[in-house]
Amino acid sequence: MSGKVAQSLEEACDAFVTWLDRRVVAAGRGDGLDRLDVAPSETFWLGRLGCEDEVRKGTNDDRAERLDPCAIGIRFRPAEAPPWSMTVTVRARAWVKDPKDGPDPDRRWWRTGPVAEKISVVTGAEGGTFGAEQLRDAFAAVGAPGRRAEVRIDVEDWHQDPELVVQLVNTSPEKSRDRTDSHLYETQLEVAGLRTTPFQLEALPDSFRHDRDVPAYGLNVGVEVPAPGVFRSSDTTTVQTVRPDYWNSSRPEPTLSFERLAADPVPELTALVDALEAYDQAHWSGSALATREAVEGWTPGMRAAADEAAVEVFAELDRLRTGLQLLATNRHIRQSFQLMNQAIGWSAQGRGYDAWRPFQVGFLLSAIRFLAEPAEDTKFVDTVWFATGGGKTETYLGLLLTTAFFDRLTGKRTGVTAWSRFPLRLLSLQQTQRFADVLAGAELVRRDAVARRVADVKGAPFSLGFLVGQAGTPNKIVPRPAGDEIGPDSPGIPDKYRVLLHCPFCRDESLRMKFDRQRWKLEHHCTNPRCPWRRGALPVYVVDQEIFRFLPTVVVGTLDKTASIGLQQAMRGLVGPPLKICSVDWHGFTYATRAKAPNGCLVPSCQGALQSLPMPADRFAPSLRLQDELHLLRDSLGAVDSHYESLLDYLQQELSGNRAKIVAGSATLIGYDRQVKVLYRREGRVFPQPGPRSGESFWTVRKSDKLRRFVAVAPRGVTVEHVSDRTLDALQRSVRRLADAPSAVCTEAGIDPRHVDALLSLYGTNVVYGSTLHDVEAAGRSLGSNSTVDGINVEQLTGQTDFDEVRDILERLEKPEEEFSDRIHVLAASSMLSHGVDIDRLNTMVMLGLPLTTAEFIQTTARVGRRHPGLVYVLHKIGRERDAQTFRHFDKYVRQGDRFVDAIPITRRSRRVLALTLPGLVSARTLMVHEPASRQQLSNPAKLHQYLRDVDLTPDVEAAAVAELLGLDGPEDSLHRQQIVEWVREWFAGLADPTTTARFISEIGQPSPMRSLRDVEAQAPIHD
Amino acid sequence: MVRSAKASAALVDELRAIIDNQDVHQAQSAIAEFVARHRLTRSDIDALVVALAQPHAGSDHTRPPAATSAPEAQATTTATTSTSATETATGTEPVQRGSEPKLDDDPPDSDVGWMFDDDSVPPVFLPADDAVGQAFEDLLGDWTRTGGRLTRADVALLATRRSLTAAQTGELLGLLADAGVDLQAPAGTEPVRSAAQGYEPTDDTVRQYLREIGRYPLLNAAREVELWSLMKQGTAARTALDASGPDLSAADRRSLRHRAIEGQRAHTALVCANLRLVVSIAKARQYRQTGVAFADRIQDGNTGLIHAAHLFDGSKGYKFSTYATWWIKQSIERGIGNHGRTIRVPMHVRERIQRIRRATRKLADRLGREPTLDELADATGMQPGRVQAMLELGQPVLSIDLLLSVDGDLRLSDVLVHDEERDGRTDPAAIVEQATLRDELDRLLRTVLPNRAANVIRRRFGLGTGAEETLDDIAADHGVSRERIRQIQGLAMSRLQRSTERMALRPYLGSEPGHGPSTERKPR
Repeated sequence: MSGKVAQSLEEACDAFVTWLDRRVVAAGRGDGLDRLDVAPSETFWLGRLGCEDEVRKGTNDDRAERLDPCAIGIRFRPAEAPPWSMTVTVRARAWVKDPKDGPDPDRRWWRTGPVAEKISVVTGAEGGTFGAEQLRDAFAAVGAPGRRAEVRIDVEDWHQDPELVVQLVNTSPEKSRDRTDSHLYETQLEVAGLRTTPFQLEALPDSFRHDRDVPAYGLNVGVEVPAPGVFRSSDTTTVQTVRPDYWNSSRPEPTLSFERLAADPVPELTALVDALEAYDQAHWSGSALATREAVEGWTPGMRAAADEAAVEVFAELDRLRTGLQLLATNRHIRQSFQLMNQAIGWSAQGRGYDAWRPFQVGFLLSAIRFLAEPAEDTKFVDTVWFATGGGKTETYLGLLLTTAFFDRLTGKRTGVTAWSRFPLRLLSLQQTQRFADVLAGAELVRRDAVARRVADVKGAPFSLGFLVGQAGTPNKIVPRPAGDEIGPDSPGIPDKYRVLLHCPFCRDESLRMKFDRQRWKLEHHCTNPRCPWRRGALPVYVVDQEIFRFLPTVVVGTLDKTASIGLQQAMRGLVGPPLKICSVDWHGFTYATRAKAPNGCLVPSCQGALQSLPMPADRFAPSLRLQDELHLLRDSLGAVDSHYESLLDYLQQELSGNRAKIVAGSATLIGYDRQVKVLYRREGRVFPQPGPRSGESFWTVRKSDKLRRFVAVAPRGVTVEHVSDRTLDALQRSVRRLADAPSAVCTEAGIDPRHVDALLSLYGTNVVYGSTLHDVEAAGRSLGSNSTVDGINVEQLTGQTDFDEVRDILERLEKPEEEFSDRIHVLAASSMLSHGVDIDRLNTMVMLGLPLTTAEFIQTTARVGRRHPGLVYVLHKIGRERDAQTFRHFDKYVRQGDRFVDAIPITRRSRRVLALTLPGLVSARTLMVHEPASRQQLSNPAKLHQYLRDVDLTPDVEAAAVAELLGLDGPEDSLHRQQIVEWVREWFAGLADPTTTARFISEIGQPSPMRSLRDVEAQAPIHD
Repeated sequence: MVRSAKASAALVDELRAIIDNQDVHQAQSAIAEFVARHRLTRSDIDALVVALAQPHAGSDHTRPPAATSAPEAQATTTATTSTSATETATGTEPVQRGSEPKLDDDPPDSDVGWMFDDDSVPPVFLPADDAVGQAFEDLLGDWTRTGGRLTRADVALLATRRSLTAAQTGELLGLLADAGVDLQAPAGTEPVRSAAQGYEPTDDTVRQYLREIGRYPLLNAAREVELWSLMKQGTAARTALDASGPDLSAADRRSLRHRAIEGQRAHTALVCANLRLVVSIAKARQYRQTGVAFADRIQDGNTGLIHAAHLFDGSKGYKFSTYATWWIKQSIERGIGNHGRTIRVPMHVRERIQRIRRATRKLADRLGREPTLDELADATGMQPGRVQAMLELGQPVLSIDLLLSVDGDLRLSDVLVHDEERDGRTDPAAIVEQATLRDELDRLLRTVLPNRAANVIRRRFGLGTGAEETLDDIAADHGVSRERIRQIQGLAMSRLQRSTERMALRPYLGSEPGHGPSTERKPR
């Protein structure tokens, strides 16, 4: 790169991505190949055109035609009345097969020279065909006599507006038996000289934020506009998105570094809020909106929508002001905010960032009011809605730590501060590790603060609990395992349950697992002698019972686990106080007595006595409930969860007299208010409010850095699987060429050779994404047999992949092997990849068909190009209607993706769901409310029955309590109430039945309490 | 041993210096630093503590020097004294997890110092690296947690699960003993109930036996696995003992012997607890009419049980009874096969007989009549001849003294008579003919064959005696091999066939109806 300033890595990446794309498209189209040994129609998937006769002969439907089309075209809306005149340029080539005694008998197919014909067209309202002879002669001239094509112009009437379809049709005669291939290749259509008006994208509603113009639609192709008034077909549709910048104000950006905010947050944050106010005044005030209304020609509806949005925006500004005010006046809040910044700063060391993005702090400011006025503020569910990859997790963590410190400062010395739930079974280990790292930072800060007596944050060390289903970690460990129980000597114990990838305190990777039989704990140990923790086992608990015993500061887990509240009385620790604490060290909190825990202590053979709790009982309940990926709580899962959320709220109210604040993260805003209302029976509130224009707000603005390059591919004539294999093959071959002949590639692509190693690492691993398990497996398998490159290492990452295997794969991806040949080259992944896998090295992806939902498309593609420009091939299964539709407006689909997201279907009034959740609700009430109140053990039906009789609790009273808990108290819920009464009566009858064989309460009543919120899927389809 | 190396004098001295020189608070952090610096595991510390305690045995034996603050000590004491193992509580406190903080101000926190440990840094314990060390830590943990309820069986179980060698197990036991862990004897190997009250003299030995074995309690699955591991350890110890040379120390030898004996006891216990299982199998209906007495069946079953106990593998996860039942049945059936009949038939023949019997029953049910030979042959897939032979073998054996009449004066022996005597009661002509035939035969043999061959033929066909003898018997008398006798017989037969003298016997053939078949029968 002579004469230029040294190329930055980003520029090199961009150049490399462009080069890669060129190579893939060339491979698909056959650019630069002169001879072939196989029929070209069996290998190329771009730019080809079948012959019309053949296509007609087949089944006469759109689908078949899309699969191997005989025409490409562009649809316009002409600005003027007929007649229309334009210049149509047609470009194409043909492939011809030599006879057996040709010059190169091994590779008998050869490519003709290019045909490029300019055809002048003048047409009236009836359309017509043009240029047939001209094209026939041109084909004969390049050595492919017999190939024919024509330009066909159709005029269609659409709501009185004429639309013009200009098509290039391959009219060659059908394939004759001897030698020729009737396809045309490398076809291109260019139309110039026609004045047009843009289309309005009908798929989207009109909005003051968005631009719906589409200049022209392609038929089987994409459309480029290389110059004004010139339209050119393109074989792929490329959409380049750019990285956002996080400051959009003329004012100087305040310093939001962790260090600065830890020292004194108020001045910088005041500057931030002032800038926001200025921005809001400039863009959202009545006059500003009026100007836009006039200039952009808004409809009254659009104006009303804008006014509504403005109200929300100013409300948000008020919240930030309030937060700032609290920070300035409330000592505890300020202190916890500062300590939190110190802690995040510590844990961010060596990760390439040292400051907040403005919107992250903005959210923290808007949310911290709940610390000061919990009763008032818990009415709202605050949702973080950031573009993926924007640092949502960090923002949560900031709020979480602030709350944790605030809890310590206000006398909550132990117990759970936050319960963070993820809807997927495999909440990613990386995500967990991030929680652990940040908590470790907080713990060191806390310890330091205590030692230096700067803040009264004494108490138990900050710790992490990992609460997932039995498939991930054990529910309990028993001395003598029977059945599928797990004992200290079961196979794989303790190493199998290693959750941390490295020590959160020193990042040393040599962790050791140990099961301590004295304390009855499954422990992570750091073996680094210089680790700052130095207190034995790391404060991480992965066994459910240990979580109940130690009530770690933060519990991360899967949503399914919520169902345990109806089965496991020790879940009480997550909604209220435990009963007592065991006198023996490290045995922890105790719960109701059971046969295996005669004194309530969960440690087997505990010899200890019970002591009173070390903290006021009402402080134990968690202050925060986090719900990540809120949009996934939909359909049956959402319905079931809504009941359990109500149960959690109810229990916390009963046991602790307060409610937890709920903070959620979501990928979509469509139908969000209703979703929150249904799920939590609280008001929804979103941060940040969308800006005045799409892609632009105070918090974000587009800048020039490349983010992702989306390439839409509509494979022609071959299967999607073939194209996926060939695309991966082309990508791998290109990367290997970079490894083998760096200088040649650098010249070709315009890359500074310094960056070769980085590029090899960043683009050497391709992701192939399938929306079904079958696709993923097929992709993984066929690659081995269907590629021209040897030694491609393929790994699979799906829901079926084992826990420890996932850990290994992630580790290999994060820290690639030294030799390129040893690395993972292709990762075949299912939707398991879409949430929380955060690896900077994944930058190229091939999508096998569009995912089922737009939300998944957004989530999944966000896994590549997190730090560096990414490249995504979206292979459309073009036979499917939806894929074909998306291919048509791919540009808008990518740029306005969140507008395509479906509203979330959810209801809490499903009676089928009620039938499923009722047993759990009643059982939870028994375990958490009746049993403690009775001061005895109510674990068997006879005792419970006796007790309920003694306190005179009738089925109707119980049913009323359950209905109230669920909020089913309106007039429209009478059927539901009836259903509850009936079920509860039956349950009481079961309890009273003297002939019952049930030994446990959970065996009474049908069905049994849910074991996992996912049980719903198999049991009951939901119709209403 | 790694541990003893680490508990070297230098370390002990260093630790002692730390303890002596500092006050309590400083000592804690200093010890913590010491532990971290040497990367000591918990078992290392325990070894150190033991070493440290020795010179001051009289003064501070109950409390290790890395003393703890009052609350924890109390907690531990409550924990241990609440159990039956009072010895351990006062003897040694081997598992002080180093210094717990003394809590300063917060009254409600004061007894949960382990949770709120802001002020001091407790030492880091790394898990032990080697198998023995780990096993030791685990067992010590169990011992402490359960308040001293650790049995030798628990140790054996762990050792077996982790595949420790006999030497390693010895080392482990040594470590435990050093740490002051007093292992309880495995419970329940003795009969629980005493002998029946008011012992009644009875001649029914079976009833007495049943009462006797009823005193052994049944075992649960966990206990069975324990016994199994004790046995396994015992076997390993016995092997080690047998293979050991003279250089084995007396203590080790004693330890091995102890474990071997323990293994034998476990075996006994496992067998005794399952004696009742044998009885329940032996009394099954299908064994009743088999000709073996109930007591004998029990005895046979018991041999099977003992064998099963030797072969039992507790790691498979099945109950012992599941496994032993097969051996017990097999053993009882063997016994029946061997002793159930007056004339023993080989096992496989017996099975064949049984098969035919079953087929007979089935066919008779279906056809409403006794099946024919051919039908049986079809059903069993055997040759009809073989079926016939088996049916004959299946005939019951009758006593020669069997009473045939109700009056009790006619016995079977009265009806059955000797050949000779029967001859005497028949036709005189036949008697003469019989006599001349004998003479002719004798002459033929004498003239055609040498002495020995003639003798062989006579005995083989029972000429003159009516008793055919086997090759083996004849061979034994002649002092040659069985095969040789067969050769002699073969040669003799061919010589007889070739000789012209035999023509003299031709007239006897077929002349008399009673004798026809017997003389014509070809010698086998």
